[in-house]
Amino acid sequence: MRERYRKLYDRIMDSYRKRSIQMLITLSFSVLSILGMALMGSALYGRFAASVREVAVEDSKKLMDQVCLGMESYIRNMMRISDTTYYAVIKKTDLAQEALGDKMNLLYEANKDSLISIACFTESGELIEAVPVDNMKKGTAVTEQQWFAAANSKIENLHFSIPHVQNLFEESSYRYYWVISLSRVVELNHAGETSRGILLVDMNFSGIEQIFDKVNSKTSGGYVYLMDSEGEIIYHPKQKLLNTNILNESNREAASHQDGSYVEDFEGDERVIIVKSVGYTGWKVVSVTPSSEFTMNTVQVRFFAVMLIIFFILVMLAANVLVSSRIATPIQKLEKSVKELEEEGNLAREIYIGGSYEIESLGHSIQSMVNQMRKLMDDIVVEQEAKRKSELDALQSQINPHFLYNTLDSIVWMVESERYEEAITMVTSLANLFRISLSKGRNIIPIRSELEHAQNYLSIQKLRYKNRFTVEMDIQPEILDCSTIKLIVQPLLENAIYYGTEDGDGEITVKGYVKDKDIYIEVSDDGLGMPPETVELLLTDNNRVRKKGSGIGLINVHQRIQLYFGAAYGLTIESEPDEGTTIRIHLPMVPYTEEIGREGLK
Amino acid sequence: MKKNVKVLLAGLALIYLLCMVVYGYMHDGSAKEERCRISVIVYGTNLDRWAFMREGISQGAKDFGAEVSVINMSSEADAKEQIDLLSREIENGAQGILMAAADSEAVNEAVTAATAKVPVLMIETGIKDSDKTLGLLAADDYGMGKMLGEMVGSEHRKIALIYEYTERDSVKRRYQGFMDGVGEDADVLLWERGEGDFRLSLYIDKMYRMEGDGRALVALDDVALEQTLDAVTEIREKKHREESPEHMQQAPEVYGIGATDKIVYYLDKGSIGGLVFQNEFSIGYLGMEQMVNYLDNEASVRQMQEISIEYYKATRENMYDPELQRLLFPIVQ
Repeated sequence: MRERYRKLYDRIMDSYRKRSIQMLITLSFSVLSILGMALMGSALYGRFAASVREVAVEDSKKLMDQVCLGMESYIRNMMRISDTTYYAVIKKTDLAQEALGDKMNLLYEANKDSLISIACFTESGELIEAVPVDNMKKGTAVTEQQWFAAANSKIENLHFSIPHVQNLFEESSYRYYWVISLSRVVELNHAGETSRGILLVDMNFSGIEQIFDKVNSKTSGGYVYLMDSEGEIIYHPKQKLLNTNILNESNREAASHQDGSYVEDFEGDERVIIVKSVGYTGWKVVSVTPSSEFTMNTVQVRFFAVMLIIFFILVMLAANVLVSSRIATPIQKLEKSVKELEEEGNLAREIYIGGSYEIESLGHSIQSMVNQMRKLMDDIVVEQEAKRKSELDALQSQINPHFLYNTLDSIVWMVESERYEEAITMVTSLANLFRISLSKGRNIIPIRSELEHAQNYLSIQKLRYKNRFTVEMDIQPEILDCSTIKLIVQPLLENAIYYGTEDGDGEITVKGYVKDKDIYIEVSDDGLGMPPETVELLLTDNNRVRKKGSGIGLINVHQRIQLYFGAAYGLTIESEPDEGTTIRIHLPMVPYTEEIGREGLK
Repeated sequence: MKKNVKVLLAGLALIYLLCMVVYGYMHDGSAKEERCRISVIVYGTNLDRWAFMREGISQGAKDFGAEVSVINMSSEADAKEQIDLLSREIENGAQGILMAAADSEAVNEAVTAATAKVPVLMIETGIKDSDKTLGLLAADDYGMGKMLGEMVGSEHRKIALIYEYTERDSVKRRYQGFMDGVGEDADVLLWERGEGDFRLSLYIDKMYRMEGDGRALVALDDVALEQTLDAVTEIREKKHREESPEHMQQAPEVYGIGATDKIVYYLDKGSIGGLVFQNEFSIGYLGMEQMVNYLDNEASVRQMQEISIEYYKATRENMYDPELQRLLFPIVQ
């Protein structure tokens, strides 16, 4: 299981990594901002919904308070009337002497709006006095009526009845009255004798109806009703529907609850119930609010919020794409131009310069690198060209026709002159000369071989020029096995012979030594020397006409040395007019190996 | 650039979408539904007789959202007048009609014709072809008659039945029920007005003097019952004034179907031996519910037969019982 998750994680991470910079930026940023907005949105919405609910519940509670106040005032009113009738009227009246009627009438008149009647009965149900009407219905069993029985059973208390139709007095019209009866046991005074009686105050039920009507008309989906402590409904806005069982109510359930609010599920609807007790009677005011009241608004808001969030998400995506493209596009362009460069191999291609500072700087760097590369490559080409040319020259000079003709002529002359020893020497030397000259096509040979080549050359020249000059060799043995390019000493000797021994006796010295870890080979003569201007020209002017010689020339030697070993090496010429000339070869010290011979230097 | 243009277009489309949403949101709450206009046409001149039903109708109008007007007649049972009223209401733009037929046969054609224009729901009394309308919403008339018959039959053998307003199907069915309930051995006289008889109460008075001695008087509907009560009050007063013949010993006991204020008053007074009555509040309320449901979406209309309107019996002894009390004294004044 974990393996699967890890694989999934790896896959996601991989695909994440492989995306382009733009996709990365866009994706990451979008995901983060969506998450952030969603979190924020839902937090805000949750808060909003909660506060809407709170406000609605608060409103309901306020309404409830209003209703309770109204109810309490109604009840207090009733109680006050009953108390007044008892304490101010009944107690102070001796029934033997006066009637209660006038005083009770006053009380009735003062409270006509809320009263239906006040009546006083004996213990046995006989009417003593009643206002405003006092003709009882025939055959009314007063003692069996609920208010009477209840008052009798709890003597100390006031007793409130549930609403009922008054069934006491004759009516002339077809009217009937719904009343709430407040009954209590009273002490009747009859000429000093006390007896028990029942005082009945019938309050007009429409008073309660009005209190609730006012409140119920304000609320839209919810309503408030009144019940007694056992859950028996006293007033309900949909009373008649309840009576005919078209509607049901959870009043029994509500009766079991303490004061406060709770949520119930009634017949499939979720409702918030708030219960509040009314003082003294034990009655309870119940407020019912369907949850749809709260959510009605919030559904709208939720929908609106969702649409808004979607809109912003999309705007944000668009913004992301724009911003990331501003960053990513220059990178992409740079990448593209470098790729093209790579693929086409065309170094002349322009690299894209642009975008943010870093990208631009990168572009510049790449461009200069490319330029450098181009230049280096060009240099290499030039260098290769030069190398080739000088090798060609050297190759050419390996077989110098003039030298050959002359030497062969000399050999012929010597043979004709019967100076066979000299002829053999010359032929042998010539053979050796050409052998080394060719050196199996190699360019790098040991210095030993180069000097041998020089010796052969010298022997031939000595014979030809009849010992017109002397040669002295002073070679340090450690340089003999180091590498050099071929045909560098012999041209120098050739120059020394041709230009340094013109006037008879010449002394040519060849020195070879190590100095500062480099090899120096000097060829000196004591000839006429050259003025400094000529010295300068010697190594630079390629078009100088050669008067005599084997053809290679100092420039060639110098160039070849530099080509092979580097600019630090080469020829240096020192010359004093009438004193002599020294040409110095400067080489690095590279021990000769078969490998170097075969494959060349580095 | 091309990409940017696409992005910009998408953004503009979104702005447009958002505007639409906001527009819809703002309008959603304020759009108010048109309220249905319903006319209730009842028989009889006395609108008070329909007081309980009107309570149900107005509660239904409030709960289900409809505008209602209740129209009664200037005569007790003039079929033509009722037909005229029906066409007038339809012309005035009533979208639905609740009707208590004055004469089940005579208005039959007009009502069935009207059902083509507007939906008609029969209440309390139907027409001959009630099934051509949305249906009849009433208590079981036969059952009520039977219950009354049994109630009367258990106390009296000699009975005078006020046979009036039988052009209404409801009354006819109650009669059938009564006859079945009263028992085989009951002696039932039918008193029916003929030519030359006008006020019902006078007629009853006349009939009583003729052959009503010792009989219980039974009326099958509100109006007849009230008229009977008027007659009986007269009789009682005459007896009180000792104008009546000696053989008339005591005022007759009255039984009937109906529960107007007046009837209940007399029940309380002791003039009525027993009552059967139906819950007209339910008829009014449920009638409104059915009609509004039908007008809102024609598909969902419960079968009328499934709705049972309850009926009850009441006597002076039990009329103040909490359940009956609420039904007999429906309105808080």
